[in-house]
Amino acid sequence: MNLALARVMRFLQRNPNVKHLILWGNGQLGSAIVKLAQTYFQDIESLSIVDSTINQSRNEGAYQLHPVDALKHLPCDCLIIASIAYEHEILKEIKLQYASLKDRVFSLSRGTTLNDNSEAACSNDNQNALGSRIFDYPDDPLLWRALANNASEKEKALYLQCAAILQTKES
Amino acid sequence: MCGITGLVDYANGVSRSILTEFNNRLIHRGPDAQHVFLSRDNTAGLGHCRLSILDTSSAADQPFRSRDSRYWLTFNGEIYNYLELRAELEKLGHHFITSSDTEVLLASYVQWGKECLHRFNGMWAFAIWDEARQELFASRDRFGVKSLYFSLQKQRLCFASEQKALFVFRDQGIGHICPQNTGWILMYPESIESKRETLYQGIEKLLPGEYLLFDKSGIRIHEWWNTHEELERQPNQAVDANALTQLFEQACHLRTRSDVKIATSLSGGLDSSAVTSQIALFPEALEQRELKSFVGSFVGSDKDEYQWAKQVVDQYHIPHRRIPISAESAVQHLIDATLALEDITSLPVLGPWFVYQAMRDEGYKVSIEGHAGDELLGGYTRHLNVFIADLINRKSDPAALASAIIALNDSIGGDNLQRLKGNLLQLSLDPASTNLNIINEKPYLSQLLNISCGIRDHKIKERRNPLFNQRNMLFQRLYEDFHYYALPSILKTYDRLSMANSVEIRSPFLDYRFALAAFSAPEKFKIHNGKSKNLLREYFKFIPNEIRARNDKKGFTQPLGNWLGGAIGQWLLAFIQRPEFVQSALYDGKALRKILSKLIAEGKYQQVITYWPLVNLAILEQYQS
Repeated sequence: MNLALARVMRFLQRNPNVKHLILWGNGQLGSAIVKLAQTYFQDIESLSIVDSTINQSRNEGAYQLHPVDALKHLPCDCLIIASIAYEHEILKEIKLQYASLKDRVFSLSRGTTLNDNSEAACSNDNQNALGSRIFDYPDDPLLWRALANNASEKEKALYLQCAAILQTKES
Repeated sequence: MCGITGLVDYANGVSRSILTEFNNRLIHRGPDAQHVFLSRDNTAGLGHCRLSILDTSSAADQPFRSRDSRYWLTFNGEIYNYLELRAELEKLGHHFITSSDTEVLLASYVQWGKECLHRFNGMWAFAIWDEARQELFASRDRFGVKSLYFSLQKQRLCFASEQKALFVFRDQGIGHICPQNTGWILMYPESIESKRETLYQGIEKLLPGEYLLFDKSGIRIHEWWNTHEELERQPNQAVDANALTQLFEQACHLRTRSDVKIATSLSGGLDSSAVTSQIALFPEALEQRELKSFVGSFVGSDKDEYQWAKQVVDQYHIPHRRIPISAESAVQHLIDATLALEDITSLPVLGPWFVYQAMRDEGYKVSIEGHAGDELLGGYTRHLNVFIADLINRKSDPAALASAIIALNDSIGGDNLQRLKGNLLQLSLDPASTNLNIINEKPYLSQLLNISCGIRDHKIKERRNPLFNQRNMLFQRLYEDFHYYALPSILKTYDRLSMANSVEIRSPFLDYRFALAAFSAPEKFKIHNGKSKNLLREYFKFIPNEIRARNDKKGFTQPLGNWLGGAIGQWLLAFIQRPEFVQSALYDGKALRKILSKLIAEGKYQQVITYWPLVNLAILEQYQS
């Protein structure tokens, strides 16, 4: 288990209505999420992977493999970005080509559009709660900044440096 | 350090001429003297090629006999605490005629039998023939610094320090490349040091911490040392900085015991700087031992660390020599170095060859080096990864987590956010993942082999012990790297390259007392405030300040990508045109030639490097004899 899979696990547990799941990314992470879904979420009715390297749809037994443009017609309750390396590019493409799906996207580093780690959510948490949550979301610059607010001088500098490193250009 | 050989044949006896030919295959390990011994009835023969370091007189030549001629010893290595053992043995009535550690080793065995192994602080592979019991005893040191290979056929056992010596028996089917083993070794070359099998048919190895007994009833192999069991046996005692510092100083001091002058191989990294700086503090090192540092330098490349090494030699006024290493010089010795290593490696290792060659040319036979520092004190990025995993599992100390993330970002170049996030999110939180099974699969290599390539299980035996599995991930990772997959491969590589140039290397970090203390030590001496090897950075103040503050580990690796764009690439293009390359029995030469030609033409040198294990195999297949 790693943080990525733990997040997917928590997300699917909180969203039992996801019956048609699509993953974007046919790499190691995609394969791991397929195994997770097969093991723990047997209620999922259809499981598909789309990837730019796939030219023709095919059946892989437990899941279907499709080219990306299959997103136009595949049933979809949730689209998980199963690639951290290309997450930014994939999100851009979704915005441009598959805008109707954008509210159903789960991104590993950004959560959903209802982001658990929004600034509003963080501002309501005390230092202890933030200090605990950071271990589930060590990649979130918002959380590190929130932690810095009530930290000692030395720790504040560290947390802000961490947040700066993790800051993307868009956020 | 030396080369040892031996033959025991209860059925047919041993021929002096064959034993001599067998032994002489290791003359590079011991150019100072070569002798063989045959037992009274020719059942057993021992051979030795000597590199004279302690008591350089011929009285200490080997094979060495006990006073009553019952026991005969052939020994490769050093017993650093030989003076203390000698004093103890003298009190028990033993008399010594030499001032060598060889004589002390044999007397220790005579006195204590196999229990003597626990008393030795050193590195060794040795064999003792007992004329009275008609039995051979052989042993390797705790961590496998010195190698011992053997071939067993019914009532015959032959053994040697290097596999290439056993090739003398190729007409008997021993020593040809084994196709069945080639596959899994190619997938994970470093794993070979942890397995009984070798790349070669009929050749096996004694593993670190083992001894064997061979007599008419056959062979019995036993483990005499297991680090984890030893750690469990020790009482819970706090290991502090003072203890570690003292142990390191003692380890270094012991390793300066020599009747010849000593050198250090200094890269400018933390570990070799620690060793060189510590040794320079011993007055006799510079004065009596003529201490000199040799610095391999990839001049003009971003891999060059000479500026760092110079800080050490300048601070301590150590005579030194900078050895420039270029693609043009490296290509001259590429085949020699690969044959010296006699195994498949993930990458070619060329830099050390020139350092040891320079030492040899200046008459230095001993080099004291910084091996094992990374594996004991968390020097690799993967150690930082598992340290972060431990923090996440414990859910405590956000400040430590922040420091570690900042350090991880620095270690991966500092400008790749996606890679940093990928590292964090895909970091396994499961301790069993420290096992390295996943890297078995390399389809781009296996599909080129002419043999099927099974996946090997690389699960270490300590994982059967619940106490081991309860340890944190950093401990488990360091333990695996030290005993199984990282350090053993490095030790073998450096043994071969140094001995090919008749130089013995000594590693203070491998002093067993220091190693045990390091494994027991709190994490703050390994990774702390995002800094790796914190013991060296914070407490070894004798290392120059700027080196202690370094966070750009380079690891004395050659700029292979650059070299492939020059002389090494040209060599490779010519090599893959050879008919022998294309007609290999082991791999699809035509397909491999096509792939490599295209990659070189396109300048995709990093991808070319991934095919090195097959190129390595081709060199062994074509040039070994």
